[in-house]
Amino acid sequence: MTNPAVPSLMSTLSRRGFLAGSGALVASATFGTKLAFASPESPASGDVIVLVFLRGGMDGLSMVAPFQMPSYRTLRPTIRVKDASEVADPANAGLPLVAGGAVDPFALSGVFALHPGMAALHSTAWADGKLAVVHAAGMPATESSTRSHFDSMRNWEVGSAALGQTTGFLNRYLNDVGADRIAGISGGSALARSLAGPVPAYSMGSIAGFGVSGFSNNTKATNAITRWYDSGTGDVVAQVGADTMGAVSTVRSINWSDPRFAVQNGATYPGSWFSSALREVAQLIRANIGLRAVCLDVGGWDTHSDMGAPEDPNGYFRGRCRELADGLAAFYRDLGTQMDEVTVATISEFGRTIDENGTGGCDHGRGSAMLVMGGGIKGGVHGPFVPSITNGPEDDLTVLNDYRTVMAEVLTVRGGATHPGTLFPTWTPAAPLGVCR
Amino acid sequence: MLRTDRPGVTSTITPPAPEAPPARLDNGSPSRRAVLAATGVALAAAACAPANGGGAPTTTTTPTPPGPDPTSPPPPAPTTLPPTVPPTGGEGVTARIAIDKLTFGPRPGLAAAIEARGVWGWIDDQLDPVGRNVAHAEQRVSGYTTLTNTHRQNYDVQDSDGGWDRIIEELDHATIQRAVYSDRQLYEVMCDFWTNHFNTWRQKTWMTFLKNRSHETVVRPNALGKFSTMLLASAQDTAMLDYLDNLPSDASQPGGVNENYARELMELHTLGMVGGVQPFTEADVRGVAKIISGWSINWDDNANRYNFRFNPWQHSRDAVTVLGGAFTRPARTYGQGYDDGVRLVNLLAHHPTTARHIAWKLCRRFVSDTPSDALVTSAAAVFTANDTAIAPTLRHIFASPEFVAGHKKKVRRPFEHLVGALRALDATMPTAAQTQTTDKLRATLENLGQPIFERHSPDGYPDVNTFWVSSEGFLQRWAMAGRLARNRLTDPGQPDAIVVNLPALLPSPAPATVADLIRWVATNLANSPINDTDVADLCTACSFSPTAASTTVSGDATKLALAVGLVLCHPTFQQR
Repeated sequence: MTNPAVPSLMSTLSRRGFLAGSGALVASATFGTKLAFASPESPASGDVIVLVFLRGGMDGLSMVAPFQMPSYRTLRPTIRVKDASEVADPANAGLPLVAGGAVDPFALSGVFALHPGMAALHSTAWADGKLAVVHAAGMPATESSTRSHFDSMRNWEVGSAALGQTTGFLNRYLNDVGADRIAGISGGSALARSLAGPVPAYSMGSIAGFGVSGFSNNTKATNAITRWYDSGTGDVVAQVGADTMGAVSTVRSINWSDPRFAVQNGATYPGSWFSSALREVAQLIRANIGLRAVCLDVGGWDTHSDMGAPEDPNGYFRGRCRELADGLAAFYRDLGTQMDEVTVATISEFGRTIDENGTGGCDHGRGSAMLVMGGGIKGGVHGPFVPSITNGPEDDLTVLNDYRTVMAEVLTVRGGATHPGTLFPTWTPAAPLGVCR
Repeated sequence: MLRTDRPGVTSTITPPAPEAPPARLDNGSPSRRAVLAATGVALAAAACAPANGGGAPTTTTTPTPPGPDPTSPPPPAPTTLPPTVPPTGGEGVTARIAIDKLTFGPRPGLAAAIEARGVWGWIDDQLDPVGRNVAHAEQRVSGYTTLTNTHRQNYDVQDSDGGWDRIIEELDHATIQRAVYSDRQLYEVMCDFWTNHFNTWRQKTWMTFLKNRSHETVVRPNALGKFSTMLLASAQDTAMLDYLDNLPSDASQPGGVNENYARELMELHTLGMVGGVQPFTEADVRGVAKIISGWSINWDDNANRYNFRFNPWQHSRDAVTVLGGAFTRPARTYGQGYDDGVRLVNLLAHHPTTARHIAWKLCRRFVSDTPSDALVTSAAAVFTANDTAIAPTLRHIFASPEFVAGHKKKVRRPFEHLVGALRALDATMPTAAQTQTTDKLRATLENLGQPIFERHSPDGYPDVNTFWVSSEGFLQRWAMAGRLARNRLTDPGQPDAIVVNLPALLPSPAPATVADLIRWVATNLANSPINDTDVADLCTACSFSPTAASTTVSGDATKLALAVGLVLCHPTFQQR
């Protein structure tokens, strides 16, 4: 058991604005020239897509719980989300997802409740009718039903279980919409695999740190490195170096102290690194550098044990939800009306087993819940769900909604992509679920 | 699998708990023992000790690492040994290639030593599993008692004031020092390889201290020895069994047998994946998990506590047949079954699919990201013909023309790049484990994206260029080079700093011109010659006159550090 109050050693390690992502690389053959500095006034022709990957296999049945279903109650005796009649403090009850107010009627109204840790999103984006949920989402079994973290993450990020697929689906998206300048960013020191491919994309630890540093004269060092890293040689190291120096030039030419980059609308970002990352994403969006896709990671979702009761404010899973929801709610508030040009989607490599195991958690499963948030999103729970959850042979929630059906709708309707078949070559096209307005 | 910050595994076993270890306060936070007692962690629960029947071992003797006595001085330089004749196919290996591919990077004097010994004489010295002719650096870490302590002793260390920090920092600093200063470079490169192959994340559970002894008993004695020996050591390593949830795996409990270790044993450690498909079934995972159930930990309150122990009450006694019938065993009685696990692990170690998997990984490490099928196949055959011995397999790979053609085809991963920079500039650092140097090196590796011993997933750090080549990754490694060259990687005003003395590295007589100096630095310090255009570009960017006397740069500490730091940023130094 790791003590949550980590020893002093860990706290001395510096944490930068974003943090570790995972993933692979970018090699640019076709976009070889150094970045031209484009006009900051030219608007994008589609939403900025913010993809948040919940690493570890997020238990969708806990985050978005079918809390009234009798089978849910019996299969998850200790970790089920309780309704308001079962707990003294309403803050510890599930938050029902029902139509009304800004939320148009939807078929599954009343079936689900958000985990109490998600309160910040329930009272903001959900109440505004701008938070959509798709449950039982995943990679269909006909393509892959792997429960291996590595394989599944890879499949989701490249958008296919096919071995020959090496680029990330978001890189193909950038290619589709004709991205230029700094179109794709992932938080951390490595580029997210979903952004890997021929279109240049960038890993970034923080805005302030994105530049050449460490030398007695960083200007001279920048000059030397820019000369050495030559695009167009076909050498991937040289190409990525060249792209990097172009992006550095752009980022460092912006006055980040300008008031337009301050947090707006009274939003307050909590202290987590995820929130700090979102705050910087908001700044990068406002900088008009051509941003079209962002990838961020949130870890800690591989809950094999001790998830904690949802009504316990100190429960582990509740803490994970809080970090996610509080960060997204602050971002939502900060952007304000600019959320009309942003769509956030959460994915995870799989869900978890329906019944809880002997150690207070759940093991690797299949279907999970996706969240989609944005000004152009239609609030509600979309797509089919089973009338009653039951334990299957492998004890999983069967995937009913291909996550790519959701992403294809988002990337076309909100993002402006025109070739969804190219985005997801092995996806069987299906009608959109109506997540977008 | 794993997750961060998660509470310990619990179990439904509730036998009498042993006497609780003393409470310890960690920086004012609640005592870990108190927290554990409150949640009834399995590990305490599993300490009930029914009769141990049937010849099962209670502990493993911790093997002494073979080779040089760590307390003795390093052996004398091997000047009188005859050079070895290059094997057929290996004639193209030069000292430059050997340094880039088989070490963490150039160090002053290394190229000359290789030339004197002859390249293949040097390679064979490096391949010697006990390093007879090569100096180690163990005297630098001889004070690190957590590396030689028993698990029980390291528990006591971790439980003491500041002990958790010491557990972490001794292992980290030892690893860095060995990589920088040992002349057994290939051996240290292989230790890094196997550490990643058998990756565990020491912070997944509270038993962080297990990793220190684990590293010394699983990887270090076997890195150039036999894979089968190392695999069995890993399967009986309580750090591995804890990390992959096998300690509480219990056939007699409703939660049942845990599949995590069984899966990774096959998917990551041995058989691997073939064409993206598991060469084993889910039923195989369940069967292997049954065989391995009971491979657990000794909770007895004695000197062997936390060592490996086969716990028969946890072991499934079902009949098992897996891997298409390659392994089978009948139903067993209580106390039996341990030998079945040893037999299964040995079968996996010797399996032809394992040979291919290991051969492929070795080729990816030493040749390129896309080794030919022919090379992988032939290396696998050598591996099998030599009863899974690693050194002859490596020698076969090094003797292939593809190895030579793979020069500069691999990108230095952050750990290799940092160690390479420290070696290239002949940096000195304190041998004490808990100084600003340790903190700074750990922080640097985290910023570079490869925090030491902090890979959360069991697959270890990726060994493919695409993962490591990105904008932030580059910016961070360039910053590291800039700081190191001007003695700012650590705080020079504080004790226990990393010290770089650039003037001491320069040749005498001095190179004639500034351009000559830069060329010399790139060729001799970085082992990475750069062309005339790039030399001229550096001069232009730094406002140096290329034709002026070299002393105009080498005599100015700021200019010299700028030039040398930048050479370590050149594209060709990123590659090996």
